[in-house]
Amino acid sequence: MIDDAVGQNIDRWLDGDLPVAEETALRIALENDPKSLSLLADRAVLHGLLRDVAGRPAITLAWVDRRPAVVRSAAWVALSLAVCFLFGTMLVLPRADAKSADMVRRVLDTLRTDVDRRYSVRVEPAFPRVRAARARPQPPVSTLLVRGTRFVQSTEIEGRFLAWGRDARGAVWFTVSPRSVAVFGADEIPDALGDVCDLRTLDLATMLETLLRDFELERSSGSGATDTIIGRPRDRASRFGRVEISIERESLQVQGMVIQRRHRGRLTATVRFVLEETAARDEGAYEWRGHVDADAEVLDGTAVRGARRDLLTEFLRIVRQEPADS
Amino acid sequence: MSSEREIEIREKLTSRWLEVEPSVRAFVAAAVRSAADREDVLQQVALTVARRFEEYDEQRPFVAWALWLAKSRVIDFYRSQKSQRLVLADGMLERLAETLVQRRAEVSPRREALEECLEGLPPRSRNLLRFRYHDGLPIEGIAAAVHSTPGSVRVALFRIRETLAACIERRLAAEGGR
Repeated sequence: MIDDAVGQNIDRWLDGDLPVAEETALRIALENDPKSLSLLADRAVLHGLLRDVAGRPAITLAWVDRRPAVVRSAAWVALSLAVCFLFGTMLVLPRADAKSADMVRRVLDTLRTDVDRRYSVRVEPAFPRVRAARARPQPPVSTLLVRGTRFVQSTEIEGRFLAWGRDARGAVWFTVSPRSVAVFGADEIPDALGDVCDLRTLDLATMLETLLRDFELERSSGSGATDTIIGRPRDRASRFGRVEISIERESLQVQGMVIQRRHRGRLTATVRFVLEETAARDEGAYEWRGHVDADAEVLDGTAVRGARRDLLTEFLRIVRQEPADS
Repeated sequence: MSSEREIEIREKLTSRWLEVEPSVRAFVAAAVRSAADREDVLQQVALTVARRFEEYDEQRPFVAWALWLAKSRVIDFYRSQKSQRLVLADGMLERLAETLVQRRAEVSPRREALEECLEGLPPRSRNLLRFRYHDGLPIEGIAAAVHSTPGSVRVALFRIRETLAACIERRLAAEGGR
């Protein structure tokens, strides 16, 4: 039986939280007791698996990288390995079904102009919170207005009105009440906030280009005036699973998309986008100023240390629908 | 080298690396102090594995070869950081690598079991894990987020990991008994 104190020191070491003064005690324990070394190995594996399952690994095979340089450097290696793999598979696997690809290309041509599109969005999380989700209400529908990489999304959760978006300069902002707003410059967006934006918004042109490049496509005639394109990723490490697009045959308007998101080959969420409206909006629609009171507190890089982070914690808790007392 | 041969090697390398990466990551995490340094060392290991892949003898377990390279990179790292003392001596690193080689086959079943075990945790525990592993918050950051003290968070995380480790062992034992 290993002393709890040794176990706690091992956890602290792996959390990067063990004071230097305590390291000697840990070293002695590891040297004198083979069980301690065995526990260190087990716990190191557990920490890594928790990163994979309960969180997100530092090394992901994604092609949008918002991580700090020190983490990005490691990710580059995995990414380069993945690119080699992708390069290889693209040479040997069949190209996308020609008719499906042609339709996607024609839809892309219609997106060249700056048009604002409004979608309803529903995110249905999969494992590991399946059981918890059963006890929850249906995931709320949010409204997404998007133009290229700019977007603004709003929803009501727990009786609170939330809004978040990305403006023309790439800054990401969010608010959980009209009295305050947090703003992160394009180069300081935390991973957790980036993930929320990445999961819930839709840059249609980029998505279609990705489909043409990295997916096997097949077309099926849908009901009435709509065609459906089904895409399946060629790369098993893709962060996407099956993608389904409904396209109005006459206008080539994308009426809806269902996108499966994956992490390490596992389904993590299904995101459903339904087009509600296409209309021209002011640039101001994507700015935070239009979503809070005129005298709202603005928490940007100059705010009191920790204030912006606290608001982010609150925002993430509400978006993820986690209990307030947990 | 023909492009077909090159593609074959690249695919094999990617596949092998993805299989052993959890073991290599665990080794580096156990041997190096800070998260940023761990990522740098892991990067060096991945680069070395890719660069020397053609030297790999397929008769030997790939994980043992990758961990042998990882051990060298860890020692190089400590040599370059004159202010930091190697926490695990050379012989200890050797034993740690041996232990992880023995555990290698269990990593996938452990992942499966962990996913099941996480479902059984109360929301508060899942929240703490999410703050730690998804948001990457340090202990002090988690304490501030949940209006608690760093000491309480440390103990809570320790208990949660103990619970998960015991749950994983139970599930693996049950699987093995079938």
